[in-house]
Amino acid sequence: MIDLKDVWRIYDMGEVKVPALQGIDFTVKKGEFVSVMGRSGSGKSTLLHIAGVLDRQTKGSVRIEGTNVLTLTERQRTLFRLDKIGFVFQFYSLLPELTAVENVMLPQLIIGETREHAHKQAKKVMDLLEIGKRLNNYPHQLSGGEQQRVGIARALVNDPLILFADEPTASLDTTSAKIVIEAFRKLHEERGQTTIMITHEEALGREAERGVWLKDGKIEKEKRF
Amino acid sequence: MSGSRAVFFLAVRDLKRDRKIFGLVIFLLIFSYINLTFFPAFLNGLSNTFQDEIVDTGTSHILLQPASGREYLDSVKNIQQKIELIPGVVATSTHIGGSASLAVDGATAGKKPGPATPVTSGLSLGAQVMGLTPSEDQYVTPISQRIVSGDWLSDDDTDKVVLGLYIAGERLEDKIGETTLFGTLMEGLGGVQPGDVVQATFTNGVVKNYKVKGIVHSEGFSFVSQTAYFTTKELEDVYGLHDQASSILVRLNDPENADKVKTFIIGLGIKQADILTWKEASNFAEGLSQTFGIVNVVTNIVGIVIVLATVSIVIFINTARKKRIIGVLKAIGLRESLVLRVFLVESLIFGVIGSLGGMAIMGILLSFFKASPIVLPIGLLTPVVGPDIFFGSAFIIIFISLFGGYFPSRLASRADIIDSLKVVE
Ligand SMILES: Nc1ncnc2c1ncn2[C@@H]1O[C@H](COP(=O)(O)OP(=O)(O)OP(=O)(O)O)[C@@H](O)[C@H]1O
Ligand SMILES: [Mg+2]
Repeated sequence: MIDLKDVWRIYDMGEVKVPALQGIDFTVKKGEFVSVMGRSGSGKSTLLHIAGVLDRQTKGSVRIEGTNVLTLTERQRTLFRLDKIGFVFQFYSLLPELTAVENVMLPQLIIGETREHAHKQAKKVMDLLEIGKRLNNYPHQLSGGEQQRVGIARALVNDPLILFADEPTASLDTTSAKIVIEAFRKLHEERGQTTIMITHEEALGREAERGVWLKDGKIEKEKRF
Repeated sequence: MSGSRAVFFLAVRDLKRDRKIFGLVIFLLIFSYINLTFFPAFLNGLSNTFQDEIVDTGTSHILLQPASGREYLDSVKNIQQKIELIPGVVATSTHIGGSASLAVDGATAGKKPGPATPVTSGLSLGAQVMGLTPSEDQYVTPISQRIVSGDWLSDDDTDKVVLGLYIAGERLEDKIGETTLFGTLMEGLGGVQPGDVVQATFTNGVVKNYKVKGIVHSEGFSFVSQTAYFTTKELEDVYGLHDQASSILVRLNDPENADKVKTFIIGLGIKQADILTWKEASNFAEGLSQTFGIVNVVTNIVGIVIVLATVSIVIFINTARKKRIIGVLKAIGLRESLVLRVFLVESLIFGVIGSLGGMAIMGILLSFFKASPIVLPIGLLTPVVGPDIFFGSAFIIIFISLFGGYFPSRLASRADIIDSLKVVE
């Protein structure tokens, strides 16, 4: 489903060139739940941005479902994300002026669904993530764990092929972090959701099927749990 | 594929959240709308006030003048009778115009009215003279109501004159502690009073003494204060005229009918006469609006720049604060063009509500002033705006809101996603 071959990402800072990724070969199959781990600065986010069609590699090939995403125009990439990719961000990504359910409805409205349909879809995923009772709360009225699950619901509402999450638990306490990770597991087990999740903590990374460790922009090791 | 649902939804929610800023911008836009419209409205009102006075005292609604090359209209009684039969005509009045040198000195004071030998010393000035028949003119012009001291003429007065205030002049001792219209003293004939005698030397050489019967004055830009009024009877005698006049003024019950009545009058086949409606005869007010129009353009440009700056700053601050959220929206699939549209819709909403509010308040102001006009020395002023300015200004407000919002919106929509996502609030 996702196929990265010899992917390089070099940040050009003028005089210095920062090689954030140095020849990554990385494949994810349909329905897999992969965690990406490694020290700060090892290139995890960079990898996620490239695989998630937010950023472009300097060298190498990235194929998602057979599509060479490098050849897509900016507009096509945006539509690709809207249709096929869900993102969960580390912190503060909900629109404060919208209620939980409205935040979740948003990707549906962007693809042109009616409000009724969007609301129905949003409620469905929110029920699945056990936040179906917080539909009409504003983000500031929710706990960190609940906010993050609203973020996951929003990433899922358009039924993406792949769910990407960049340290979704980093700003949460242990209990909330557990609940959020549980949510990812449940999605994987019950819906066969292909998921790639970055985390600092190995304990949380072990909840995935497979772990990938990065170091200095290279894959250090891989392990099945 | 549409995203307009999402765009509208996001724009409205965003505005609802920042009610204070929203209110402030709307207030500024309403203020700008009034700035754009009220001054022209005031000028229109001012022109109307001026024009009314000129029309009332100088041309009335239709003016008949001798064709070029001729000095007088002939058989005026007959013409008057025919015109007065036309529907919509209230009355007509003949005026005999001319000029004379008016003088006053110790020698004329106390002297009897009547034929005289010229005075050689003292104050004198050249003035416009006018002969009219008070009993018919009272239905046509309000000159008789502009009396500030003494009395107006009667049809049979022959040795009497009514002077415009600027001819009579003012005496220093009467004016202490007061400011005159232009801040200076109107010297004229040095403050002639009713009962005094002035001497007129007409262009045809006739010299005669007259008793001043009254003084007239009008604050508007009319000639009333600069004219010496005699009766028709007297000027016919002075100029040796019979059934002749320099102009015939026609008053209508509705000035808007002037064109129609003019056609009727032309149909009468009056020879050697030019027939003008009040609009044709007094193009003065138009020139006035044009002069003030330039001032107006300058204030309008200032107003427009203020709106432009306000809206762009507000949208800029708004988008700068939302950098991370804009990044998130783009990451989840909101196209750049839709992000741009969200903020443009916000600008549009600003513009539409601002101009609607402006039109509402302007409407209230206009109807208020219609009910109680502004009192100026020259008369009552009612601000008026035509639909062109009323709706044109609304259009300008909307347009400049959009224009002001465009650049910061585009800047925001183009920001790099990864950079935006790194913003920590
Ligand atoms: N926009 C950029 N310009 C220049 N260098 C960058 C940029 N973004 C990332 N880098 C560099 O690339 C390397 C990888 O960064 P990346 O954000 O992928 O690390 P990470 O593993 O996600 O770290 P963390 O755990 O702290 O989030 C780092 O050395 C970082 O300094
Ligand atoms: Mg990172």
